[in-house]
Amino acid sequence: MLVQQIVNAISLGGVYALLALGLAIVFSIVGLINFAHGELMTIAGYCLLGALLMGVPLAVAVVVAVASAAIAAVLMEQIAFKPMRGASVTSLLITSFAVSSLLKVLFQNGISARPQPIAMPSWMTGAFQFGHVSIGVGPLLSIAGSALALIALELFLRRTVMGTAMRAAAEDFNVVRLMGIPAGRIIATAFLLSGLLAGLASLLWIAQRASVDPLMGFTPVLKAFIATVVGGLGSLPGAVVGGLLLGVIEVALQSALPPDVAPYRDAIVLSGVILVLLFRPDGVIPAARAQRS
Amino acid sequence: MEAGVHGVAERRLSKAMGGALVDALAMAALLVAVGLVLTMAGVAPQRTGTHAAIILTAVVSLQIFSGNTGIVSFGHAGFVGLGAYVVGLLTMSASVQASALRNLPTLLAGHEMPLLAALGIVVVLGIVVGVVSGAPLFRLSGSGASIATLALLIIVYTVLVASRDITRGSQPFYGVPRDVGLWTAIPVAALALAFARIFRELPIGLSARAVADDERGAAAIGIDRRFTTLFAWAASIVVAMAAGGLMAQFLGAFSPKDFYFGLAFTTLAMLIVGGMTSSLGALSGVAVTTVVIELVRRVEGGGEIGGIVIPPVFGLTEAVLALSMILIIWRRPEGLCGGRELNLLKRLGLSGPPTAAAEPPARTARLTIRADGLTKRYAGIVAVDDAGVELPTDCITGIIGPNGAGKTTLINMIAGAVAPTSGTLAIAGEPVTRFAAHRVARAGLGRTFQNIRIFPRMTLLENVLVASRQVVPGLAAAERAAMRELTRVGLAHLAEQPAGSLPYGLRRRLEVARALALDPAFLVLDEPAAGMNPVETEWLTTMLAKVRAERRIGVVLIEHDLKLVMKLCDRIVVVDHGRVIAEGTPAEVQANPDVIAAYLGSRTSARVLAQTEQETKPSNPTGEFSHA
Amino acid sequence: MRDRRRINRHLAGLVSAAALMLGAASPAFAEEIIVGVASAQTGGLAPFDQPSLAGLKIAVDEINAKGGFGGKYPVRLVVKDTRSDMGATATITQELVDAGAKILITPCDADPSIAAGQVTQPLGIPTLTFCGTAPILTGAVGDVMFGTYPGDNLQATVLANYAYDQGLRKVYLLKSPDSTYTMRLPEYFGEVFTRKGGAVVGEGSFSMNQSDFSAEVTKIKNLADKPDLIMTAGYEPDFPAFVQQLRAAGVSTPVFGADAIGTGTILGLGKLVDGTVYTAAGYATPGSKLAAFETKFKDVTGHAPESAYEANGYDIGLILDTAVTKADSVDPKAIRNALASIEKLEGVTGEITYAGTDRMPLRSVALVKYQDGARVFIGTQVPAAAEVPAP
Repeated sequence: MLVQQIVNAISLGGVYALLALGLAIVFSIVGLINFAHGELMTIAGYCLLGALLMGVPLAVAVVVAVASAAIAAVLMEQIAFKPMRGASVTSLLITSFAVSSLLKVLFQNGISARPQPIAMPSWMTGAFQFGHVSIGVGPLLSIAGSALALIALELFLRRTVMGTAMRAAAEDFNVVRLMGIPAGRIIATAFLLSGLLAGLASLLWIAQRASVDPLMGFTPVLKAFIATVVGGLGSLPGAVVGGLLLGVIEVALQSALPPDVAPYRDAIVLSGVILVLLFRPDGVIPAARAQRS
Repeated sequence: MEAGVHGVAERRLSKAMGGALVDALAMAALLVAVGLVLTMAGVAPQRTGTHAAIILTAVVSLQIFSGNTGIVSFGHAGFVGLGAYVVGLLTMSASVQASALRNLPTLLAGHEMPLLAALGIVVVLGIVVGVVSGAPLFRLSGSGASIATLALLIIVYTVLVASRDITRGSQPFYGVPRDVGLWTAIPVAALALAFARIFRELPIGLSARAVADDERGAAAIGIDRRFTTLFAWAASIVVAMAAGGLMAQFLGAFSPKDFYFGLAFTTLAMLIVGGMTSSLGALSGVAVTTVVIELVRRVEGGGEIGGIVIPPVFGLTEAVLALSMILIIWRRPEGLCGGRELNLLKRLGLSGPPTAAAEPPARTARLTIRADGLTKRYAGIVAVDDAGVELPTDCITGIIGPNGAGKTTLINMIAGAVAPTSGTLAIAGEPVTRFAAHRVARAGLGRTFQNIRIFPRMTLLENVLVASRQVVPGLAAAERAAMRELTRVGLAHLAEQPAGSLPYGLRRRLEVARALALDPAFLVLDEPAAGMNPVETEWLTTMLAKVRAERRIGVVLIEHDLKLVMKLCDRIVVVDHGRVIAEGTPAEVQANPDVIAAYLGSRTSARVLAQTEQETKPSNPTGEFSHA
Repeated sequence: MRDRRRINRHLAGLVSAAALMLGAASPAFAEEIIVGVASAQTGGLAPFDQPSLAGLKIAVDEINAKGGFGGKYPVRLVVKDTRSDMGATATITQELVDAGAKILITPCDADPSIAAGQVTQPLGIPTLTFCGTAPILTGAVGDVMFGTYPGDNLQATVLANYAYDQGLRKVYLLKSPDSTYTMRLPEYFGEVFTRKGGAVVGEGSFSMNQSDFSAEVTKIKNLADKPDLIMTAGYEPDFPAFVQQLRAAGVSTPVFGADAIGTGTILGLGKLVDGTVYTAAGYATPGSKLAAFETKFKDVTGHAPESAYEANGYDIGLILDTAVTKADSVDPKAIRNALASIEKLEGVTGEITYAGTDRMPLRSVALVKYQDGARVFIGTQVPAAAEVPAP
């Protein structure tokens, strides 16, 4: 049972980590906490649905879905956030709320307010047996997906010029100008990456829930938002740690709390978040920021 | 200079408070006028108005906290809900309660209070709840504090849902008498609005705004951020819970989900639209959003216009709201009101700046700042090493040294901005080692920063007032004392301008005026002449000499302009590699071979030191340990 | 000249906009009956209110084609969006009343329905919720408030009876405190089930939209006392997520649910939900009224109904037609009394009775089972009023 719960925790934490990472990348570069990140997930979901309905094979549909989230992220930046460059964190945050609610209205009235089913192939719901322990394909897939994405991102940030520039920009945006890379490209890349991560997380999320609806992005992004702050706002390793931590705490409480106390679960989790912040106000792994006078 | 009536008022009421009261009355009158119009318009408009007034109360509560402290709160919606449940429980009829809430603890059962009594209890309870729930904000600021409020929202919601015996959990809580109409909601909203308008001029409001603008600058004038934030939080929670009380009796039935993210986002959006930093912003935000919603939703249901059938387009309201929000943030990031208050008196030219107070008496006692063995280590680097200095009053002391010598770290330790690794510190004989900056400031130390830390969104007068009211009892007197310091630095004519509009040189002057307003025994200046032209430098020298002569305070300055230091200072302390290497009169220091060696070693010409020629501004000012 | 025309056009626009605003407040034409619909076309309740309204519109169009309610009172639907907001619901209800609504329809949820009912109760205007199922709903408002959909306790009774009759004796209840439906329905089930002699061997909880049931599933898998069935009122996205993760963990215990899982989404899960039994407002057996409605709905709108709410919305039209016919008047009080006396009305979803109830309808509940990617109709039941647990 313990092994199963550990797998559960890592699998859930992995999805949170992907989402938190998407938020953190954008925040570290432009100071925006993008609440419309959840709508990127929804877009990926609807594109997956659309592709499957048109009879496209699953593998292709997956690519289409992830790519659509990435493109949507870049468009979102170009249309909504570009005119606001340099605005305060609050203004940016509120803009993203507005973008998010606008998109939700579009989905509800343009597509359907009802959830749409997405049939997942049956092998995804199978389970591996290890002795008396059985572990679902879903959680393993989700762990594998998250791990691969994290490794790929790490390689990109360490091994490519653009990745190095982005790491530098996260600490001090002025460095980017010294490197001779246009600021716009850095920002577009940040949004592109966050879109890719949102698309991927969306697929893992949908594989668990088998349906798409206009409001599906809200809960996971809320969790990711909490995870980024716990981890350290703007810190990429922090986002991953925060996401995993949140996943582990949620699964641990869900499995351990007696039924009488179970309804208080979210209150307990969030009290824990406040406690972490009290002891580490800048998060578990604070973001490296150039000291600005 | 003023008419007699004003003269009397002036003695008891500060100018700002007078203006705030007039604004508050004006806004209340406006609400009443709108109420009268709605009363004549019919039942449905009255309901719209009642609902808007309650929402206004909730938005005002948010404004009191977020507008003054700059911390965006998601949590207030939850406390609105808490207020709703408290009033609901206290006012519902005993028979409904007995059937709907069978396991209600007897303490809470069967009160059947009138609304006003219940609201009274909510206010008292609000203070308790505010202080307790605000505890996390004690240590957090910025996004950490924001996320804590988000956590509080989820916690309050979860607790409401889970406490089934008291709240019926997620099921509708019903049976609350519906006694709130337009003429209950409007007075409460007007009261809340007036409170918010006055709050920002109160010492606590001024302090909160100062903290929001610059936390370290605020600490340097004796403001305790933690207390200020907690106080503003508790005050705003009281208003939020009162709004909830009204909401309960307006709706009659509700459940926890009505006070969750939906309400949090709506109220926040309204506040942002109007402008977070002023009570007028809260009012205009609610007014504009309500009007937009009312207009658009009449169109979205479809119908016929001039014979053309328009199909219903549901979602238009939400879409238009979202779009107008984006537009406002694009075009007016500070909101529709641009963060301004009504300021009726000033606009009508009925109120000028306050008169300047007389000089405080010169200090007679001779005091000292005594530092012994001060040491600061940062991860292996020793910034200041066993430094011992004595800084007396009635004396101008210069601290000099090459770049990176540790001068600013030393000063920051003395001012409490940086905690020393070891060593002791006493001001006027009182031990202040490891005191936080605001307590050192209260012990009699005023300071300026190398990188200026004024409060850009406050007026010049407010910048100085927030310091002077720390030492002068009564806002009116503090205002006049602030005016005196502004006059001293030659900025009195700009008193009502926002500080953010000042050019660089004048900002330095403002910072000096602010430090002086604390009537400190010691004035510590970190590179006051940096970036000043020769004329400005000359002005600064004269002003400092004059202050010292008039008030007999101790002036301590770090400066790169050696010519200025040699000319102005009575004593000089030389720091190199974190150690005090020499101390004495300018002449003694200039002759000291260690000092010459230190300056040679740092590639700065010793000739400059010897001849006290004008030194050029160092090309790399960031080499110092000045940012910790 | 051109300028003047433009001004005229502006003026015309202004006048017509003003007329539109006033239009909401203008009195009804003689004999026309206004049905005010305060429904959530956007926001969290939209998934329920949108289809309900679509069904109601079809009914009203049909009824108007025959001359209106009772063949002589043309019906005008005035629809306003509450944006799923409580305060707006109360205000909009007042506006609809001011606009002359004689009958009011409220959203698919108890809170806003109660808020609206508090406006209509003193005026005696009959008020029907689209598909609010909380049994306390009608009692919380008073004699003008009518439910239309099978109440939570009614559904739970039918389901529990069936489960017990199938020889199942041990149940695990999975609840979510986030809504009345997901919390109380399993509790009602437990009440009826234990009264009959069954046992509740465990209870779990989940947060709606959490989508992660791994911990809960692991707990169920490792229960010492294995349940014969799991009962939950969770729906999308929670129900598919739960079943998917339950089956993936190798637990084959049947899962019973309530009406909210009777959707294409759940059907689309295929073999995953084999053996899942749920309640429904009605079932479209070939040749039934419901099947005819579904065909009609597709003809009119171009797509098949997405849920049972369309049919229920249509039934509301029939209920109102019957009541007005019976009352033979557009007086709200007469309509209310006629409504309260309806007995065994044959709607497209089944038989509906208000007489003798506290205005939550006593009506047939269909039982349906998912098997091999298809729905299998088990039967319909109208439980005895005494069996239904008190709200």
